[in-house]
Amino acid sequence: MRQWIIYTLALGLGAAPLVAHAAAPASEASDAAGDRRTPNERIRGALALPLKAQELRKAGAGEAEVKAGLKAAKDKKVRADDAAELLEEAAKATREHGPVDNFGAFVQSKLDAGLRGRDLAAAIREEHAARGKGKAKGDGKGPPDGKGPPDGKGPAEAGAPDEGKGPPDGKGPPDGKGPPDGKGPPDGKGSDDRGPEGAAAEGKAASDRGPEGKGPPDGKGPEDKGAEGKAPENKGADGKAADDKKPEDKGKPEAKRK
Amino acid sequence: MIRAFVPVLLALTVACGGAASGGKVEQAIAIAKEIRAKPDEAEKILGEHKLTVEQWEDLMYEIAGDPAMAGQFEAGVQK
Repeated sequence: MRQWIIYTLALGLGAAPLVAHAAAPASEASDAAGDRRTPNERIRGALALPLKAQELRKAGAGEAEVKAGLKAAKDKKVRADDAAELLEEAAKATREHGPVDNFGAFVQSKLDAGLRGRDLAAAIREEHAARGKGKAKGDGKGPPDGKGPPDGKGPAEAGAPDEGKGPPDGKGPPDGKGPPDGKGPPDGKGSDDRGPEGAAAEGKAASDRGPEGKGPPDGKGPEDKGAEGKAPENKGADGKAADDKKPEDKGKPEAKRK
Repeated sequence: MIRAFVPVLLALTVACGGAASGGKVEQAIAIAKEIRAKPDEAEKILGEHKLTVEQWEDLMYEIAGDPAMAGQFEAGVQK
């Protein structure tokens, strides 16, 4: 038994430098990648920087964040071609996951920590995946699944009339979607649309999801459950609306969405 | 008298500033187009415009940081 332990320790000690050597080139590779570029490549890469900055803006990142990110990169003497790659990565991540509030500060902190190249790009991706505020504005494409608004996450928004928070593609009207008394959720957005009997009984469930599939923001995380908690009230509101209004009136907001 | 000149001076200042940034973007667009036409001669092209790689990078940073300039550059390069 002792012999096994000794062998294992010896093997471990022997292998440690090998592992260290194997890991080193991987982390250095990203730093070295920039140096391997010829001046021509560097110049061409730099040319892309304003274009990538625009891409990031169009993806939905705030101007302050773009500027802060650029400033952080410049202050840290990140070459323009590398900065262009970073912004490209950030733009992709922003399109996929939405913008993050602290992009500039985040880049600054990662640069301070010594991250460069692919490592920094990976960190940016992870940050957006973890803290991105829903789907971004995108470049007029909107969310591919056609689901709810990008930022309709919190319970505070459940049941409230949707104030300009429609999907980025502009398909859904931002206003006038809630029931007339303003108590219920905007149609297609509230949890009662998913609710079993109440909404369905009113004949809303099917239309709320809409033929274009822009209905409820399904699968948006635990916050949405908070909205479900409001369903009974909303049902009441819907019930009221059903009493007060004719069926044609209900149909109008649906028609608007198309 | 001085009051009368203040708006004129302000207008001139703004105009000169705008022209300067516009001139930079125009220059950058011209260079970018040349580089795109002859990518292997990028360094030589910069030299012809009396710019070093570092100066070019600084210019790109400056343009990228200004949405108006970046938009102008984007439009100019894509023409």
